[in-house]
Amino acid sequence: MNSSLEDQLREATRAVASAVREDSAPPLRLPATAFHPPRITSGSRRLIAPLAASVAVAALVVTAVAVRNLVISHRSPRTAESGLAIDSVPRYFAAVTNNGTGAEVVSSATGQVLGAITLVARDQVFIAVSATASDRTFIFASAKVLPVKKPHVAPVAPATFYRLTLRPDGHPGRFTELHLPDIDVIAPEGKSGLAPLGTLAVSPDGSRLAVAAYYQPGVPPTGVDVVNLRTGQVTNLSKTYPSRPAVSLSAPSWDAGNRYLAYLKRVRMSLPGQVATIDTDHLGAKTSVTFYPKHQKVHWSGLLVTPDGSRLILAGLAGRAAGSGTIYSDPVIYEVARPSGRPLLHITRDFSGELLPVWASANGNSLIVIRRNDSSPHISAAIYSGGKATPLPLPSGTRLAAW
Amino acid sequence: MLRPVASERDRPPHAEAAVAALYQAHAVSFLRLGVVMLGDRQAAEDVVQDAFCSLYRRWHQLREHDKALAYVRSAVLNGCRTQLRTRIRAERRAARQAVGHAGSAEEDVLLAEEHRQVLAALRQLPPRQREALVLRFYLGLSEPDIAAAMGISQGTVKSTTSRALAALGDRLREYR
Repeated sequence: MNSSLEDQLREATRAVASAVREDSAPPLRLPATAFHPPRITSGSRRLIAPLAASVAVAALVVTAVAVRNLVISHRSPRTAESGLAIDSVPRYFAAVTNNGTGAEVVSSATGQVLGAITLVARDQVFIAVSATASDRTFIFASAKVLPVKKPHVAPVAPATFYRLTLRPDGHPGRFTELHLPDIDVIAPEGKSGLAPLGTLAVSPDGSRLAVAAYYQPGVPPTGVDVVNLRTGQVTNLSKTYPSRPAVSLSAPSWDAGNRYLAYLKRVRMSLPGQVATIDTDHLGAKTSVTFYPKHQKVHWSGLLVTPDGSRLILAGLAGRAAGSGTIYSDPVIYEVARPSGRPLLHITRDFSGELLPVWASANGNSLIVIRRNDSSPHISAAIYSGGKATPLPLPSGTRLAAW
Repeated sequence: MLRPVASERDRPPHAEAAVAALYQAHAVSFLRLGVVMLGDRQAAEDVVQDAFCSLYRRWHQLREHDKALAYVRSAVLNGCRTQLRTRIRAERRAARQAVGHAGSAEEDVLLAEEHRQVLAALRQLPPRQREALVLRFYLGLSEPDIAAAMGISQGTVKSTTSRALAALGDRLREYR
């Protein structure tokens, strides 16, 4: 019996292994830097216990001081002027309301609407908004509402850009149009039409703007334009891929240094997206793909780099997790340094619709995500922190928001 | 900050070339081992990728570089074990939440019914028993090699294999 069983086992395992073709191994993705852990010698082993004790004592002291500071800061009344720590949620956010023709500035702490602006250009609606790190400057993009056309033809219109700066008390201050060269974007089709989330990303210092632009019907479907807001110079990132004219770029996100831009790159629509980065100080330089997210059945649509550059937050449409049989929706947090591209954390599940991570604390432990399902033009927002998701109240009829 | 590439001096050049060459030559055989162990192509790719990355990180610590393949094989087996444990927990959760079952690698290839039954029975064995049978009957390793790969004694290899075969036979009799 056993010899027959052994033969069956040999044949069955070889049969299933034969499904892996000779040339089908994916490319090797080595980490950017080799990790060299320090060798522990017998001499250093003797130091471990006293060192550990010292570290424990130091940790206790630091914790005690931190707790004391927390208590003290909690006792002192917080005003809009006092400012929150960098890792805290920004004090103000902008919400696009009134069917896309207006925007409101809202206090994150109280939900109080501090002021509103209205788009005076006729037939235009706000299609995107992005916030700088100062939480008092927002860049808006608007586009004309187009008549409903044939299916499968993307509605494209030139965008108009505006800058809103808040006064120190958070009330709207200057709202000015930025006179930039024409950049075509996906525009809403008809009154109920919507532009995709994540069209715009302003750099943390407000000096540069990345726009998910649309060049021409067919190939390439989308690209990313980088605009220097000081000089008005526009650079089309698709030109950095001259040998691959079909490449599609989207979902731009800046690093905290205002220099490196990450974006989703897709060579063919049938292939999963990759995350690529470019040094915007040297836009002609060769770009480098840094990250291949796993769970490749997911179509990534939103990307956010944490301010410390250590993590990527990717949001996508529903897919199936390998091996688990679970239908999930994202965002998913990935560690940049983890070469296999396996996720660190799945945050939400069972949501079918468009998601966009819009703000993250320094290391991504807290983040704000907006989401929009297919049945409504309005978004909802939630903050994920410490394993909990808390809905964020938005003004009625909010279509877009930026923190 | 997020930077496109690290400077070349951060990595030993010979390590990258050596690991890339090993990957080129042996990735498919390790991928097959992963698929036999896990029945899941994507999970197997993850495990193999991590194993080679681990080899790259420890390349300078390897005293005998000709043992690199043995190191990768152990890393793949460890990775498969971790995946199986994670999956067992996930399946328990899924059973509680009554979600559907994902397709496995076997569904992508036409297998004879008896092979399918053998593989289904193999997947029901505890990870250690499954590993011992795969090393013995798929890779054809000797008992000392299996002991080295699994980090156990030869006596334990013998007893684990024997118990695994008996359990496999029992499960197959239940199917038939």
